[in-house]
Amino acid sequence: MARILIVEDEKPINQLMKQNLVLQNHQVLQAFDGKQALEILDSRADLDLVILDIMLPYMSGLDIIREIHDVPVMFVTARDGIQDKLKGLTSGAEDYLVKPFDMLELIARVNLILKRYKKDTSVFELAGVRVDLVSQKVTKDGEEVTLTPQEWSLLEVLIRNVNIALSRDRLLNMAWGYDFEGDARTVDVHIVKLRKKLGWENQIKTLYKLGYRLETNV
Amino acid sequence: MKLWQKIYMTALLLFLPVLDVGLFMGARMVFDYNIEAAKDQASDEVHMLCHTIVRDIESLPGVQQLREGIVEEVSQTYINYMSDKDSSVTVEIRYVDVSEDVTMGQQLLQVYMGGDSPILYVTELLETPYEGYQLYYTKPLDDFYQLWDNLKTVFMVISLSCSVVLALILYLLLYEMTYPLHRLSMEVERMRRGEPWQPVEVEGKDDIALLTDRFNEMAAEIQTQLEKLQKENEIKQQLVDDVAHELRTPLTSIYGYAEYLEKARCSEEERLEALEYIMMESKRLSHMGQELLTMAIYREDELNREEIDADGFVRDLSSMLEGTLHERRLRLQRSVGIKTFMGDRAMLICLARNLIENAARASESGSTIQFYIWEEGDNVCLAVQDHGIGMEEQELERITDAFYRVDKARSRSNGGAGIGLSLCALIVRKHAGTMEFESQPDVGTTVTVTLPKEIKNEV
Repeated sequence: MARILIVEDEKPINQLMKQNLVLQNHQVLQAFDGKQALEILDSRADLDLVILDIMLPYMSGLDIIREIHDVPVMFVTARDGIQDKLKGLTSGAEDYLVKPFDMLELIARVNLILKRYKKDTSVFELAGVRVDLVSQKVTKDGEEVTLTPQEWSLLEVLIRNVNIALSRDRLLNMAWGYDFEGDARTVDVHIVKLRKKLGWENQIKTLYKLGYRLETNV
Repeated sequence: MKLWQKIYMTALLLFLPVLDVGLFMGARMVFDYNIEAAKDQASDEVHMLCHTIVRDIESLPGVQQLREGIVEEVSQTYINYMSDKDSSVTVEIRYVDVSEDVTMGQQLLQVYMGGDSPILYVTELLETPYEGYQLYYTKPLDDFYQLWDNLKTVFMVISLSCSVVLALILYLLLYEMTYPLHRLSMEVERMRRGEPWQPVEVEGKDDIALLTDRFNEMAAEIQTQLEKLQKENEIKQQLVDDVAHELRTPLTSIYGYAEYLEKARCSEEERLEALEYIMMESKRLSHMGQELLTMAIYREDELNREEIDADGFVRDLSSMLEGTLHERRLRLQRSVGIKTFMGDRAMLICLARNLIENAARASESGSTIQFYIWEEGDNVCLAVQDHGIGMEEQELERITDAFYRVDKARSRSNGGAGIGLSLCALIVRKHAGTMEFESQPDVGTTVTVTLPKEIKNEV
């Protein structure tokens, strides 16, 4: 769980990003213009990440990033020219996301930055199960659960994209890579095994036509 | 081959043969004259000799005249005299009785080849009663042919040196004369490669100078046009970028919320909010498309000028805006100072509507917007005045750019798509009019559109 500030003047997009990140159990603050963003940056010293639009009222994102120290910044903008990207990245930003973006892309990039800064979630707890993402240890009600490497990869993907529906294909690719030989059935088999081993019969939901979703609020 | 080289070659080819032939003929004439003179002289001498010998013999006493060998004797003095005068000449007198080649009173004169050189040969019979004697005169013409050879050498030298001098002078002259052409061509080549045109200096008033002058003018014109085109291109590129950007923003929301609805487990409240955003942003997208289309159509359209009834115009305008104004609880105060004016009714309605809508967006609810139409000299003026947020000076400069917003957050929440004012600017330009903004932050903005009553050249 990380504290993230979103600076975006488009209210719908700001709200959208917030909702997506809240699903990941992140704590989100919102600012709709440059002034507001600076106020929050001045008053809060415990931010883990700033998501910054470039074109903003009063102050541009490029102006704001100069005022930010010690906190990683990710630009989100509709400008996708190579010049704009370079300008964004050379100004000290960690990453650059172009609108319109995919929900999973936003989450993946945010996770990457948090991991780089060691601010990502290291322990995940749900329904008596404790998953240590660093040491890769899983315990259920205090007892250790042994997982095969394939099961572990799948579990990690589910946890990193908690509360988001993932199709079987997506899961296949994200957990085991594109080279992995197997089909949608392989995913089903492993999901069944995970449910059984962790007792997450209700937590890992099967969604008709969509795939699976690990839910925290059952 | 270049022009100057062509002229050069042609001039040389024409001039050199003429020079050579002229010189040769001159030399030949000198030679021929000399030969003729020598012949004449020889002929005269021979004739004189024949005559003088006979006279001399006749002047002797009678006995002497009949003496054997008297002719040879008398002749010898003259022959010696002739030999002394010109050693190359040989004169002989012989008794032939009947001559083989001449008759009495005639003279034979011919040039024949004797050995290596031509020899002049003259012969004549002495006068009666010594007609048995024939005088032979021979003179080798070596000297003349020697002279001819010398003349030929001199001729060659003169011809050659003249040719060289002529070629040199012609070369320099032509090169110098056509140099401006060369320079012009180099400059054109430079321009072709994309470098900026450097005006070429003009000297004199000949064809080349005239051409250069025209080229300078043309290049300057091309350069201006090019710069104009480049600027227009940049503006267009900017517009395309802006359109792309503006299209992406609502698309991000629409796609994002749709994805959220699909993938996340959301509450009823979240679901409704997402749907609302999707609908709102779709509407914005469609509105933007419409405005862009209108702008494209108006850009292409011919102006449809007609007489517009001012009261009717304002009435229609008010009824169109009623909804917007009512929603924001704004009052529109109208003041119409003329009966009719000229213009494209549909476009001007669109113009006035956009201006009033902008004013409405900038105004606090409950305030008043003023709309005026009046006459000023040869112009008709339309003005919209609000008492809203106003603008800073630097914002005024960019205000008619498509998609430029003074305050992005605020005007977006009020539904503007950012194309309105550039559409207005387009309409005003089509009417050959001007649009001026006067504004002060927190005091308000006044937009004044001035349209000429008559358009000389429709834009």
